[in-house]
Amino acid sequence: MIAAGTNTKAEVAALRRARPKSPFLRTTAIVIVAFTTYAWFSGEIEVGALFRARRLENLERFVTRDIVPFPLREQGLSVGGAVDWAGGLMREQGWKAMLATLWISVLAIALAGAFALVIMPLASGSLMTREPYLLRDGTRGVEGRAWRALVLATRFGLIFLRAIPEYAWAFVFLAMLGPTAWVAVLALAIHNGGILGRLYGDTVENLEVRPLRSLRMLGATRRQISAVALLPLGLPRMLLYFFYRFETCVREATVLGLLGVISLGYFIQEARARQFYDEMLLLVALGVVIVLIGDLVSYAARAWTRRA
Amino acid sequence: MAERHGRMRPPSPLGRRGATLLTIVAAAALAWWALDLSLAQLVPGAGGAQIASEFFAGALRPALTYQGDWIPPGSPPFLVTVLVALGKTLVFAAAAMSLALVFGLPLGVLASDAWWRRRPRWTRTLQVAVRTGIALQRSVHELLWAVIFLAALGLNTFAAVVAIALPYAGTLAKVFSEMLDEAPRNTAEALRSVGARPLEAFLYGLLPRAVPDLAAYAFYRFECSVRSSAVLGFFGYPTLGYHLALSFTNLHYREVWTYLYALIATSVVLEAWSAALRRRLVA
Amino acid sequence: MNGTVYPTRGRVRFEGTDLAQLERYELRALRALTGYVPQDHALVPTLRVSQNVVTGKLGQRGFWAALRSILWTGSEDLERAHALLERVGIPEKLFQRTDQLSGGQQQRVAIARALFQEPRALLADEPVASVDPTRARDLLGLLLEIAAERGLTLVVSLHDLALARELFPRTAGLRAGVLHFDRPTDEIGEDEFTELYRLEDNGVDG
Repeated sequence: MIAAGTNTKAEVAALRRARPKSPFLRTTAIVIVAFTTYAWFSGEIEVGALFRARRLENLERFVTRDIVPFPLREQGLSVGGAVDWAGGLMREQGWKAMLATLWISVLAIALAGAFALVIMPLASGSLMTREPYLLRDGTRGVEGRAWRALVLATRFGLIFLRAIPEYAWAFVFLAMLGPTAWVAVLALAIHNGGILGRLYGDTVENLEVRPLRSLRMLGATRRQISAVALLPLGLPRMLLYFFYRFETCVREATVLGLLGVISLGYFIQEARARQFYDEMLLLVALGVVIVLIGDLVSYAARAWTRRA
Repeated sequence: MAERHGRMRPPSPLGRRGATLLTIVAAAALAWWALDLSLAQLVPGAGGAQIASEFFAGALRPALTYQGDWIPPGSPPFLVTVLVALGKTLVFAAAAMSLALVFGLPLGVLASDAWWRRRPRWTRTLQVAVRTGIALQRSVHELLWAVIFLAALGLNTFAAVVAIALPYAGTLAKVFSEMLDEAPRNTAEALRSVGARPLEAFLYGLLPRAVPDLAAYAFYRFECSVRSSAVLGFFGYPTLGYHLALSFTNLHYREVWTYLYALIATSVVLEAWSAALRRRLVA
Repeated sequence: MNGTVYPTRGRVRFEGTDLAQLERYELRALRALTGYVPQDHALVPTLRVSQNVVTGKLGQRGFWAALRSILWTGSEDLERAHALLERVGIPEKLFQRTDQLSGGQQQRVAIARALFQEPRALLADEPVASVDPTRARDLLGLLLEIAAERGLTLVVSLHDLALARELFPRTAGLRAGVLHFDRPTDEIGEDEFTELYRLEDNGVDG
């Protein structure tokens, strides 16, 4: 059978022609490649302009002069002076800003989590049907469709909350509330509430159905099921997501200060405005520290709850 | 009897998860106190209330043409402006994402245990170095990178792209390395046992097992980078954020909502696309 | 010839790495000559069947040739792959995505991959652990046929002693790495089998 060379060739060719193709994947790949190529060659991204002489001079001044800590620049090599300078900056701004950043993110993620817990049952397509967990197709008929509409509306609301960046929310709230910490807290809570709400909804949708079904057969209401079964069963995964989002909250809380809320970003912006780039970089480094602290807290908390 | 009862109770009445929940509530209360917040601050002043009511009323009727009486001569129709801004936002995001992938993928390989397994122990210092680098890249937010680049280089769009790409490459590398380590190893081992070199076993045995997850995750990150690139507009780059801030300061709230809806619509499309992709690739 | 192959493999895999270091190139050449069908077939589910089959030659090709053969499989390779798939009974699956195939079909692809190596001996580790009894018989029959037709030494590890007794001319009983017997199957007494049954067992045929 291997001897039939030409025959095999034709067969292979026929099989190749009939190979399963996925138009969807192919289209996706083409769109990605084409758009990325366009992005780089549209002239919008000025790669060459970055290396123009004036910019490079600017860069050289920035690296060799601007970011050198102020006392070193003035007095030559004096470690004591630099330490005093950094210590003074920490006393005046550093500690306060770091703590504020941390507290803002803690309060924001707690609010986001609470919101997500409340909204979670509404976002669960398996609970919000005519007869949850018992009917195979609970979205038929007028009532079924109404339930389905409720879930879709909730889910759209959540997209709405999370598709708007926290920076834009903060920008808007700042104009309404003035420069209080609420601006950052609300912006972060809303954006992350949208994200957590969706993740929590997905979590309870993916729960094992049998215990829930048996509860329903016992006559439990939707609210009872949420409180007695969905919450405890989904909690490990929810806490995982919660702490993951806490990490990003810390990052974002730093940055929202750029708008004028008292977090690290505020002092970074101020140093930048006065062109004290040495201070600015020190504050950015504090930002790194606080983000690493946030990651560590999240890591420890995840490890702790996972062992439960 | 009472003693007996006591012994029957579980060792910790709360359990770890309960304790975690309580800690979160306590931490939030502490934060409230430390930030010196009050509910009264949530009630906007007279000016603020006016802005709030006008702004949220705008959500129901986003603008289709420019608001305001004076339109700079020669400006394109409003919806064209919106589409152009959205296009630029996507251009920045795509450029940043491709750059992040180019650097994130190799870094992810170098940060993974799967790559360093079976290699001499001292080479692991390189892995530690890569992991540290990734962590530092990730821990500076893209907007802070943008601020630093603004100070060092002035306004340049490539610098903005790099600002997004740096932390994104770090995150991609971290997640990629985790996915590589979690991918099933049996194919790579089977290839090794018929004489494939370690690099080949990695390329044809391990990498393809992780690729679907990698692709799905990268696509999801693109969605995030669209938001990041939109926000860069607040710093003067020509993306959605720029127009959004401009309209907002001009009190043209209905225009603001048009820009916001453009962003939301993009999110919805990308999310649906990403979900479809995940179903095809991962399931 | 084959007698030297397996102890060398065994020692290298089980006893220490110093030997492996010494014989790295020899080992690679040796491995390339022994086809291997792993227990869980260890195919890449998202690649096409043809690509999976071609990975069998990895041990015998240079790095670039291997890369080319997988990304852009040449017609010669394709025809060989097709012929081998025909031999194992699934020629029409050549360009299918591997995860679209059933468990038994995937096992056949793994056999085709091993044959693609043009091995001198074929090792199969529990090839029928995940298929039902009738399929198991078919698969083992197929392996035996192929081995006979190409003059290959076939070594199969099994947990099912009944199958071993029925199909294979020689059986070796192993328990925890210790050889209990190694004789033509006909000469092995019932009691020896029962003895092995109670323990953790393997039937090996050479």
